[in-house]
Amino acid sequence: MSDALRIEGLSVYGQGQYDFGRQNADERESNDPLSGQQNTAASGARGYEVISQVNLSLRAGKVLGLVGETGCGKTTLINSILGLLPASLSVASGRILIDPEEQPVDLLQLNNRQRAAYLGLRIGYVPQDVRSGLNPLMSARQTVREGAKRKRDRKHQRSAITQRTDDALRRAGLSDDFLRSDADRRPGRLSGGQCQRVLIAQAIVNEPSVLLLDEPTASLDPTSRHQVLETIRRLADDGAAVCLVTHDLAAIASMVDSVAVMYLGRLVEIGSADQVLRHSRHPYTRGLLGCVPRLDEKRTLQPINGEAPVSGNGLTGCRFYPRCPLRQIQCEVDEPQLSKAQLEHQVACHVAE
Amino acid sequence: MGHKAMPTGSVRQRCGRYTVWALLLITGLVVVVPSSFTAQPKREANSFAPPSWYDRTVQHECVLGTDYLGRSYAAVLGRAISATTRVAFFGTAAVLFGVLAVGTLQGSTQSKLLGAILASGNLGVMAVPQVAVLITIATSWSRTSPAWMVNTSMMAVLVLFAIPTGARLIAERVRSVNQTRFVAASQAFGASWWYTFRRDVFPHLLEDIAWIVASVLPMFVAVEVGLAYLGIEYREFEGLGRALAKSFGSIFNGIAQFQLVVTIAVILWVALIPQIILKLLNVRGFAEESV
Repeated sequence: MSDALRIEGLSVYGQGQYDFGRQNADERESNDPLSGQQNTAASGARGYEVISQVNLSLRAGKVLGLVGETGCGKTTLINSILGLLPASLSVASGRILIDPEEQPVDLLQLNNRQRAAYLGLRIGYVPQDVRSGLNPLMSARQTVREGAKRKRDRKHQRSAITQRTDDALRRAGLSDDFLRSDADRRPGRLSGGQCQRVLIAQAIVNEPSVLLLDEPTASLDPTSRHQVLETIRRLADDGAAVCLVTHDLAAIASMVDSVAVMYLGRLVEIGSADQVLRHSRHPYTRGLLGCVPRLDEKRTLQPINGEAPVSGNGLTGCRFYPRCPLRQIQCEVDEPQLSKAQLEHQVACHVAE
Repeated sequence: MGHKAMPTGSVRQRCGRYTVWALLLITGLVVVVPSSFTAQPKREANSFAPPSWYDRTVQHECVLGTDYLGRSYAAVLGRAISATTRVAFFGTAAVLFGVLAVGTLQGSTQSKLLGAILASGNLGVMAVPQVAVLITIATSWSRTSPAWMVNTSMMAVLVLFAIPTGARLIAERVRSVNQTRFVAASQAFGASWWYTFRRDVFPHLLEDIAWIVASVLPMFVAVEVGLAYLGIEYREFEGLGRALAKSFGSIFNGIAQFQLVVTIAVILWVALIPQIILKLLNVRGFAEESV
């Protein structure tokens, strides 16, 4: 399977100082040359670091699960691809290539008008939060139809748009009964699961090659969550490259092909679902998995110690060091890179290596 | 056994919509007809004639009697409604345009400069009595000044005074809608600014627009009536204010008293049309789904 989208060395910085009272990035670079090694592209004057040197590939027909705690930079990564970063954040370096193996186009080099040619057509997006993701004044069908109108050519007449709209709603897992009786209702009168699938239908109506889903199962009941995940799996099997952002490891365990774990804006472990979820090597990933409840096993959940800081600024060495149960002296001064020894299962940890 | 859904809500909604259309039609007719079909009552009369039920020029009785110049009061009132409503509609449209333009700009850009101007404008509107400014402007023009200049300057003051409050309201709404995820989803779909505004933002402004219209239109009516009653009116303009003042001038005449009551009722009707329409459309219920 070929790469549909590739992220190379992406760094995003925020304006000003987020972590007051700590060293800023300028000071860190001047005081600690070791930690500056990875961030030479990003000037400390840019402010606080949100995402640093992220490399990722989304493959056609595969689902990548992007996991991590709240605030680790998952949504910011998605927003970087879509060009939806708030004014306070900016991309400092890196490339986001669509069709990297055939006709690579760097999305970061495009202006808004040029990028619009890809959004909705080549890249589908399902926003976080089911309820606020849908316009409360538009019916489900109208919402998807507005998306379908983006694909304009002579073949796509009114009837064709209606046809594509209904097809997308069906492919998103909504029944013919829904199409007959509920599709013209506003989101306020639909269930959370139905709303989520309407959002998915909107994202897939133009059959994009890349699908970005930002926590699509948050706030859904177990049945709806299962149905939505099945729908996502089916879309990937149809050939879409899917990036599923979530912090719900248990939900995605059985349906993703690979998993990337983020901590404080950096990838700390990446590999196949089996490698990361069953044979995880990074203490942070193990910590996350330790918080997942299991029905077949009676055990005490063991949350990770402490809280993740709002930014990695001022931290030298491994970012997870202050919370790591396996920390060593080396971790405090030397920032680990993703290991290159095993290409399929990369871990950024001195201890794991 | 299945229950049949009660049609009460939809029937009420349909009745409300029909009434709204009827009201708009009546209002439209009232604005247009006096200029097009009704005989235009002349302002000048051959001689002063006290109000009477009998119109000597057409040789029959009038529904509302005649005014102090012997003209049919129904025609005079029709023309007054038309004139006042036109001014009110024009002024409201100007305010709405200004409010939407400034409010959307401020809500989208979050410009500190524009925000400061609006805030100070709002304070200025509260600190300076609008009527005092209008009286000053109306009286400062020389008697030989063209009527349109005097009227335009008064309209401009009214519009400028109404913009800051409405613009801040719209700006706040635009800002909050722009922060919703469905707008982000629209943008992630490659939607242009204009598309997002038209499809996602503007429908959520309707409630505020309705509120602005419902408060600004009566203001124009009230200012026209109030100033004309005080003798400071739009020049060469026979609106409801003049009709009120003249019928009040003959207050000791029984017919004039009747005409006064009718005129006050008409003024209230013209001023309250937007509120009645809002109530019938149940805009509050509509807005509950808004953000």
